[in-house]
Amino acid sequence: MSELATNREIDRSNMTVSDEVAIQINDMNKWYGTFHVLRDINLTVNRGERIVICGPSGSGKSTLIRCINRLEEHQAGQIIVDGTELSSDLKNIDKIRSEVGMCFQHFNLFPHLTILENCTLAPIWVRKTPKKEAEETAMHYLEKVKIPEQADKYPGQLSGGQQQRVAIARSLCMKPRIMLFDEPTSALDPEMIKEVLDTMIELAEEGMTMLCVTHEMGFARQVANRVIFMDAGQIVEQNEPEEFFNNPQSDRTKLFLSQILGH
Amino acid sequence: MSETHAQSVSYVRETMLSEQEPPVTERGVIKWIRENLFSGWVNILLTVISLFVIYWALALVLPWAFGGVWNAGSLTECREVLFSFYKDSHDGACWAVIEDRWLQILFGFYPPELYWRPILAFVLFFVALAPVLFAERVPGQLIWFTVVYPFLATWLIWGGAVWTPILALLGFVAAFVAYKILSKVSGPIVANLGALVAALVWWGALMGPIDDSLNRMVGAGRLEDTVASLNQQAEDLPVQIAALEADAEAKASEIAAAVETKNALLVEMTEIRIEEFAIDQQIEPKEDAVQLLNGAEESIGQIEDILSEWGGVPEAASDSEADLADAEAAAASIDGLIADVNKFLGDALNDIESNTADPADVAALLAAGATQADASITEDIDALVAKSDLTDSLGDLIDLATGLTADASASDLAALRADIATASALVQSDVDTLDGIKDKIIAANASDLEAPQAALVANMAQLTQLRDEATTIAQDNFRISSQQTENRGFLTALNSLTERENSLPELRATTQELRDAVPSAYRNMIDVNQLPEDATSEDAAALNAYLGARNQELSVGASIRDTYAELGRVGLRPIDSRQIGGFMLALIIGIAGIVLSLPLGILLALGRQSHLFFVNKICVAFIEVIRGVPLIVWLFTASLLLNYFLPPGTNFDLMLRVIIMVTLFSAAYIAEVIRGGLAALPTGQYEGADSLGLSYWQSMQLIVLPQALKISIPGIVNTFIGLFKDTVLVVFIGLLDPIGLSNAIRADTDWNGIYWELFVFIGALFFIFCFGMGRYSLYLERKLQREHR
Repeated sequence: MSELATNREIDRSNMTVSDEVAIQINDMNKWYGTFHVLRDINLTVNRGERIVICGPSGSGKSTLIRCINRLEEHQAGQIIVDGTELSSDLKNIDKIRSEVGMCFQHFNLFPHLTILENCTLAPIWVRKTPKKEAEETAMHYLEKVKIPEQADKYPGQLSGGQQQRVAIARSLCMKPRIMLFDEPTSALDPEMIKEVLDTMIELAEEGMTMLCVTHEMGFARQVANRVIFMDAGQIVEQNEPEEFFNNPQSDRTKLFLSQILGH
Repeated sequence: MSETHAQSVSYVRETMLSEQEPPVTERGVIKWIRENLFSGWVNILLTVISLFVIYWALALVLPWAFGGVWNAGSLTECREVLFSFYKDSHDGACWAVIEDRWLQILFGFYPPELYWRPILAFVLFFVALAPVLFAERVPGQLIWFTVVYPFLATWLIWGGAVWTPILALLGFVAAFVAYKILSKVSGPIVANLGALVAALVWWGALMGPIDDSLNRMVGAGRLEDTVASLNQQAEDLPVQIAALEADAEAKASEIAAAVETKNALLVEMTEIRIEEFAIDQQIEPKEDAVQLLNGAEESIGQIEDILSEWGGVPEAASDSEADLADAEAAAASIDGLIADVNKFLGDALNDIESNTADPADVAALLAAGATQADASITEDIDALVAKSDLTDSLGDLIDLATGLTADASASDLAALRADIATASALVQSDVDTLDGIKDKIIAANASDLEAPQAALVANMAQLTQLRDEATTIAQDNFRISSQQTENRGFLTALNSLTERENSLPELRATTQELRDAVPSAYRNMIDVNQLPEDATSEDAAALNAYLGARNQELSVGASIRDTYAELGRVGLRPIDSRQIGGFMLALIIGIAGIVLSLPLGILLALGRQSHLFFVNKICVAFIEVIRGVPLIVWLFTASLLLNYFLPPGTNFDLMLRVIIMVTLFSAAYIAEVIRGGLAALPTGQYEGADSLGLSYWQSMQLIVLPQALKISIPGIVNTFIGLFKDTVLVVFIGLLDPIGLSNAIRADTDWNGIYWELFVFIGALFFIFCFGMGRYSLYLERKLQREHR
């Protein structure tokens, strides 16, 4: 068993799963050219769920969550986010994108803007929030991710962990109802992984609906209420973390777990 | 072994070393010189060569540039001044042409009394530029001035009624209002189209009539006053012209007097230097003779070479044809060389005999001059070889050479060669002596020349001043005379205004009548040639009559409009594009091209990246076609071909056409430069912007372009510099850019044959602007580098 994501007790009082459906994916298929990346994906995410998606590289995990805010286009099936179906209608896409926050493996902060400007940009231009109010919100979230003192610096002056926390704060400034994490810790040094995971745990404690593609199994065990294992573009197994780790059903899952946990 | 090792491991430092200065060869200037100039033998060699080249170039250019003449009325006068100062024909620059014509090089044929308009426009350009280039140092509201500036500058330079630019600006306002209204009720595409339509309707249909009615309104109120003032001017102007003509006459006689003084001074200086010229006349033929003798010596050397190669007179070694031919050829070249020797010697003798004088005569020549030749000059003259000695020795040589044949012995040849060398040395020694005498004479004359030289400088300055004054008078005269001509025409037009206005209804009625007479199928034709073949000759005649009447009606209407435009104009005197030239033309075309091509280039670059098939392909085709054809071809297209594609009768300003072509041309390059910047951005930036819900244009404006443009700055500025310099190509389509003006200046007999000075001046003007742009680009790069690490 790998180490835990945090040693403190996790406050589970707000981590409740409601019956309301946040994301509904029906028979979704995606191809890159002729390559079939995602095959018949069916997934329902309820509000408040914290889902960790894992699997070997090339299994389609990232593509799956990138389809949810349409950074990738799906070719068949349905994706319904917050009751709005994703189609080529640009208005729907922009609406969904402003409701769904996303953090990337390489942060994708805007290097020509200060941290504060990075955080206020979307609220000002997309939500039309007055500048002052947007800055107050941004400072609130920067305090939450514990780097308010960096507000006037540029991304290039921050460490990787700090940048990823800014990226989380930037997403939160749009007050999203769903957060997507695409391998948020893979590009970080071990020391910095912890500070990012702490931020993500705090977010989970507040009841945020989260989909994380990650290999941090400690995080999955402690925070997730469901773990999904994908291979070859399909969902191979999903279960509650305890069951998933202690009693995997499919051979593929067993092999995968033995490889990442067994050393 | 193990002991020492143990010691080194457990070593503990007890005192810390204090900081020390580096050795003397490793710091300051010495270090810099050693490292940068003399670091290795290649570097040393390069340093030496570079220093030599720099010295050589400066030694060539600086005396020319700084020894130049600034005050002179023509190239001939420049040469006179230079000649009076320097002992030999010194090559100094004739900057006087710049002094005389710099305003023309800057402004072309723009009326001098209106120079303040382009100058004001140029100064305001920097005010308008400040919010763009130095956004953080000037108040943000200034950007409004930047928006208005293009209209203001156009008005200042071309003149016209004050409301024309305002009406043009209102077209954008109309577009903006239409966009705002439509974007509330429909999508962005409809709103954009609506804005475009609103602007086009405003400019195409509304602006002209509004302009006309404003002219009419103001003009009607002014009619009487204007006629009175024109009548008054008709009395006043001839008086002014007469006064100016009297001034001009007075000035001309002053100038004539000054020119006379100048000529007298030149004569005086020539007299002072008469001995110098006399000696020069002695030196030149002797120098010539030395050259000829050396040539003869060389030819004998060649004969010797041939003989020694063949071992005597060339004879064939075998009977083979090739051998025979070789031998014949060698014999022929010997004959040729003998002829050369004879010719050289004969010419040398001739030079000495007919063009030089005996030492006694030289002394007489000098005595005729005014110099108190010092004793050493007399000694020098005595040292000259008597003319008879020289001619005798050359005569002997010729005798020997005439006897020269192909089978001359080696010793004969060697003896002859030595004799020639001796004779040559003798003449050369004369040349040296004469040079010495000349230097002494120049030194003796220097003090005598000082006074007339100073007088000449003063005289030239005065002359320049007088000529400038005369030019001003001539310009005033020209201005007032043209005013007079214009006034006469305008007065005639005003007097017939009412009559023309009254005739309009009748003309209209006639046109309508004739139009009704034309069969209805043909009524909308604008040319008889459009009639179908089966039309009768009566139809043709009717159409012809109708078209004639219509043209007359239109031309009367247009003439009334023109009269009102002149009468009712509140604003600046209009200037024709043809009057704009020189550096001003280059700046207008360059700046307009730069300002317009950047946004167009950005759009093209984005279009080329677009996933929309047609947008993408159209942009690619546009860029490739524009880039693949030389600019000069596009300029010719603009000047010649474009008229074929425009509706007949449209008079589309040539300068505007050139600006459009230059803009399109550089936009294609800018697009490619920016595409490089866009390609350099990681896809994560696009995804980051998308994931936040920014629309395409928002993400371009806020995220992508600021970064892509920053990367592209050097390339963009490079393209701008290229564009600015390429504006000189418009000379080929008949616009008077600085190069065109330099040709015009040379066409003046005063400055015929002057090249370098004009090109240096024009080059310097361009350099200042291009260097400035390059520096700004560096500043911007450094600033952005610092900010966005």
